[in-house]
Amino acid sequence: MNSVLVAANLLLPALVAGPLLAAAILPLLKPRLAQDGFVVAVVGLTLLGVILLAPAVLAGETPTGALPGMLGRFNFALDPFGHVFALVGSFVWFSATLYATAYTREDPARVRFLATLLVLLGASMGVVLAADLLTLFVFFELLGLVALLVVVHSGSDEARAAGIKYFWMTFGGGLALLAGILLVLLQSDSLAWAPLPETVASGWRWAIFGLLLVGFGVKAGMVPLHVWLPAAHPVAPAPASALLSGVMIKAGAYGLFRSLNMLLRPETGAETWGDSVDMGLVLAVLGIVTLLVGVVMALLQNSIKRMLAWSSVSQMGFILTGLGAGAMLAADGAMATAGGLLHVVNHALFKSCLFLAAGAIALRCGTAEMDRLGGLWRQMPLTFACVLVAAAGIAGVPLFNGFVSKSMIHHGLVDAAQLPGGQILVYGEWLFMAAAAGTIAYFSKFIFLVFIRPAPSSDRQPVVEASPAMLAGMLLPLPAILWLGLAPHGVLQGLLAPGLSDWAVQAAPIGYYLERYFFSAADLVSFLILLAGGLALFAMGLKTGWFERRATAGERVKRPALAQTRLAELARRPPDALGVDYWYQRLARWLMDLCLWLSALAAALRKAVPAGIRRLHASTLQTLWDSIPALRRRIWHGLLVCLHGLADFFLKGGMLRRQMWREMMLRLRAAAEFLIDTTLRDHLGTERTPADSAQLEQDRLFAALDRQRDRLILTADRLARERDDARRNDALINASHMLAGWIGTELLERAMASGNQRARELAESEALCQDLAARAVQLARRQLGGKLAASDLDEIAEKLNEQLGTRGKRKESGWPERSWPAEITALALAPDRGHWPVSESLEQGAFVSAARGRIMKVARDLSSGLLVAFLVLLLIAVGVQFALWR
Amino acid sequence: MNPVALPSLLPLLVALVPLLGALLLALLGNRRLWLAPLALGSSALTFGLVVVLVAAVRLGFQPEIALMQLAPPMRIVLSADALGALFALTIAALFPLALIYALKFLADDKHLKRFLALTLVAQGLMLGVAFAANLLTLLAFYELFSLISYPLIVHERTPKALAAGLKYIVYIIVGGVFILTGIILVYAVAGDLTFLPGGLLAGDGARAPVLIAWICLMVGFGVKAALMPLHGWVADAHPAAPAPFSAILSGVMVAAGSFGILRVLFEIFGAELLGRLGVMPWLATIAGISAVLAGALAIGEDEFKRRLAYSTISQMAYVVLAIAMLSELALVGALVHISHHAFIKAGLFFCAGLIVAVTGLKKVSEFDGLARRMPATALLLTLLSLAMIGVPPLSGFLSKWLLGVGLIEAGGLVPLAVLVVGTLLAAAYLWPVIFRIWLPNDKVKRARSALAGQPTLMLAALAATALITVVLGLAATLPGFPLELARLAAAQLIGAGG
Repeated sequence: MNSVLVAANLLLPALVAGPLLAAAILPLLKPRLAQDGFVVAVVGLTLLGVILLAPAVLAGETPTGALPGMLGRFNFALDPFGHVFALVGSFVWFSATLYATAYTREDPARVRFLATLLVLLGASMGVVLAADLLTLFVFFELLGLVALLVVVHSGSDEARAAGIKYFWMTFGGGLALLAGILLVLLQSDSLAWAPLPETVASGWRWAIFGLLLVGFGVKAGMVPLHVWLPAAHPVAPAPASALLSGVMIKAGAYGLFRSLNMLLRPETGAETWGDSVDMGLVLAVLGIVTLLVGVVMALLQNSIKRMLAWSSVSQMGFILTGLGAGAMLAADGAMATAGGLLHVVNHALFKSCLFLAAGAIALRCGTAEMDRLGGLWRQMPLTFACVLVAAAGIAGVPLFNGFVSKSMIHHGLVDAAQLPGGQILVYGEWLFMAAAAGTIAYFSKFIFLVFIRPAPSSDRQPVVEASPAMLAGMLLPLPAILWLGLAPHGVLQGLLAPGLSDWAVQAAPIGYYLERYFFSAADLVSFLILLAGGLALFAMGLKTGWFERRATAGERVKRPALAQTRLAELARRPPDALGVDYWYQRLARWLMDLCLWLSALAAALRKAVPAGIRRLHASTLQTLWDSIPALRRRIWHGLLVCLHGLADFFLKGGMLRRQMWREMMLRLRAAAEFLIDTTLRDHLGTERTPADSAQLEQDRLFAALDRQRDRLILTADRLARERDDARRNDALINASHMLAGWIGTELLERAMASGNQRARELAESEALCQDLAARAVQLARRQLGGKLAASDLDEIAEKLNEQLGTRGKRKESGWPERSWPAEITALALAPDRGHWPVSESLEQGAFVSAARGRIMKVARDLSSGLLVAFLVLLLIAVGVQFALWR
Repeated sequence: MNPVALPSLLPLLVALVPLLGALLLALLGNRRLWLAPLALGSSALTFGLVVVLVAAVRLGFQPEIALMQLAPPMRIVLSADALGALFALTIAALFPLALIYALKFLADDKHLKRFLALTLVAQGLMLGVAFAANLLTLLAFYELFSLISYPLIVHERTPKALAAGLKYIVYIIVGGVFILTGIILVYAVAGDLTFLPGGLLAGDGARAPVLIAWICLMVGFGVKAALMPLHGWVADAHPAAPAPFSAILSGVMVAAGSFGILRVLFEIFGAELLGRLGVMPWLATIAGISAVLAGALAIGEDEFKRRLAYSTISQMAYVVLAIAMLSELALVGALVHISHHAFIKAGLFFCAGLIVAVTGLKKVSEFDGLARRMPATALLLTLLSLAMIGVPPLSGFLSKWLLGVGLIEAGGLVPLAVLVVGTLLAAAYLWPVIFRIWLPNDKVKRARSALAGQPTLMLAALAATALITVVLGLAATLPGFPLELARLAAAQLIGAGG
């Protein structure tokens, strides 16, 4: 036995990793036959592997295995439930793969499709074999997201829209599942399928249950999370639909089953089951709602695949009802739980067969709309036989498997309804019966419209039977359907009962069912009542024209009188707002709009803040700033006058000393008074007298002219540098500076004197600046060549007069000679190049600008002179030291 | 488990090799032929040295070297502990990929040599940041590399790039002032500036200067770490910088800010002192709001690189959120997330650059049907986006799982809700990109192909990041991988002392 166990341990990870690796290898095989054979072989081997594990499981062993990866290992373990799911899953996969090799013959993307099927097989195996929650989550998400590829396989718009919906629901469910798993980890410090510790509070249990319910419920197609299912299943290729409906949504049921029975239950041996009973009630109620919604919507459908998709929703409702009732019945719930699990198996078998048949019909007839088909019983007899058997299974006809599981669930539901707190399930039971009748009704409709009745239009090509591979895929589940219908004891008592009893759910009810209820008269009678009800519903449907197709634009459809009533109209096309889908989309759109609105707000803020600062600057700060130069100017004016006076005082000699001193004091006092007055007025006063505003205006004009003068000097500098590059001699540049400064000062004087509008314009004129700068450079060249005459300068002065429209006073040519200390002092005190004080005679400003070049040259000479002086002194010092030392 | 200090030239060498490589490149790089070998050679050598360093750290050593001492507290010391080794490994692995990418992306650029040289300098300086053993060293290298990044951001010299660079440099300089203030305050309180596991200030007296120092340091490093509301430079800098540098920006530069926060929080303040100060809930709140708001803003961005920039802000906010929990598990998640995110985000920026280079398209709304034209890029973009969203078994899922475990253990349900909402938002801003790319190509956008020849080098760099992502997800527990180093680092940062 030990070696068998070891082999089983190795087999488990191989079952998961094998299909995944095979999917990577598949694109490398080129011949189509090789690809087909390879895929079928891999799936067959997987099935074989699962079958080989059966003896170990039946003997009560629990093989475990692991794959290295992620946070250490992916742990796998095989218990009876996992085995049941794995068995039915791989079996259905085998038949669907056989079918797919023929179905995708014309498909250009068949390799991608087949590879995806293999990956999905590996992921499903990973889900049902997972031993802890993290492994389960990884493979669950993988299953969900890779399945997206098969949903959007056909590339049509409808497929893409279904893909979006599928992605978001799966992703949202995955997030809820992740949150739930993290909560489990928080509360119990372990991720194994084991009951949560006793100490975990009820609130936490319900939170975990809620999250896991959402997470697994999305996958299981539970209302209200089912909206993706009717969209996604029809658009996928038929074999993929079969697998989606048959196996993949069962992963959700599997998760819910394990959560309720292994995670949220009290520890084994506890007296009461506490919260899990109520949770079972919630699940059962949701299950009933699901099965009802599924049935009603399935009745209304015209497309075969869509009807089958809604039927899947409905049947999952049956499964969930069974699981819920089983949880409610706690230790006695074996019958209901086993019924639910058995229905998982059954549903996988017959739904996959039905989807494969639907695919065959669509392929052969070119359409999957029931109202356009008909009379296929003669042309596709084998398909018809498969459909009959599968439909009998799903409808719960005795001798077929559906009957067993549905009656088990029904009995479980009845028992649960008798529990205190389960009264609501009494109504639930009626709805259950109604839904079962409805199932019969819509399958009758399907078989009648598609197979039995004569075709509506006879101008269609003759239809042949499906190809052999496809037929093989359809026929494979049939024996199992029949076997499970006639002798379910093997699965029930061999696998499910021992498994459940391991978890303290007594297996007795199952045996009780098999003895008392199986093929009992009561059950058969119930079935006959359901049959009658279903057929009546079907007949009424035919009469009222529910089953007539929806009218396309401009087409007149003959309908029986009853069908034209308002109610029938409403039933044919229920308003959107009744559906959960509509509200989901509204919510999604609202959230998206919120985010977009936030972005727009952020962008507006980003633009508004600098604009606001700029406006603030312009309004408040600018006026403040403008008044400062006036202030600064006055201070410098005062200081400069002082220094000028001092310099003259010390250098000129003492004759007029006293007079100059008095004059200087007068000027200082005037300056100080002016300063104080203007300070008080500018910063404290709000009104400006006209004299002040005129003064401000003058100041502004002066500032503008000053800037123009600066620009002039800069432009002349630039032009001179451009012209002078051959010789690299500073003389031209200096001379241009001086001349440009002189011209600028001339312009300034005259413009200030005239003070008219023209002056303002000239202060901003770029053309004038360029022109004057060019002339300055020209004059500088002539000056260097020694050919500058006074008439040239006069010419410029004339031109300026002309521009200004005035006759300003003529200045003498040349520039004033000042002693160099005064010049340097003035230069050193200049705060910047531009803003020089204006006095009545304008001489102070003029000489600095005009003589700037000379001053700089003088400074350079001075510094070189100082350097020479320093070196001389150094040499003297060294010499002296030398002499002394010697 | 206290690491043994090992005097060794290794940290210095690791920081120096890229700088020397840059120097060589500047001198010899006028020949086109020598650019690639020089650049790749120095970054490969750096990677090799970092691997050796990581091995040493795993064995329990802490290589360190004291470079110089200006005055008693002002020492320049480099030492490699587990945290530094983890960050250095991420840097050393990412830069060669970015350089390979840049060789092709900027092949026609006449300033390629300048770009490569400056990138190498930035790498050397960033490695200096990783190995800094006291606040002064950290500040020196940090400011230097922030400044070096400026010419890399404004590489293209378009007005938009210059404006973005200006914004960046203003933010960084202001941040630098805050960091300096914080450092001065720390010195005033503690008298020293070294990083001690368990906290330098642990137990030290007055509350007010410590609190102000904390605020200054958080603001200063938060500017780089793109914590809202200091994130303004990120969204403009990423589209402006050329794609390889955007990848580095998002991958390691923003992470350097989080790195600084980590160092300062755990080795200057210490977990115990922080608990007493009670400031961590504030940081957690800001980080949580940052994560959700940045994710929401990313949805509205049409330009792909801006969208990715907001995604970086959001993801890095998770790191800060986890740090603020002050728990070892959360810290492991944060550290792992930094390295995993670096590769995923770099890969996404490589994709953005490839798309611009081949088709000239920058906006997501124009990406319809791109997969037909660029199948390999589209596939890798899908893979990396799914990794970013957090799909198992890729690396993004692993870091999200670890973050989730840490957050829920230390912080309860609210941080978990932030994580879940943030993941949803990540799907909301990345899924439309994936979806559009795979649409059928009926309306082909008139696209130019400015690229001469096949972008093989770029695709290779991109494929390398995708491969790293897959391997880091599937085989996370291999020795020397980020997970192991993160566990070591978290044990040192929180386990010891406080």
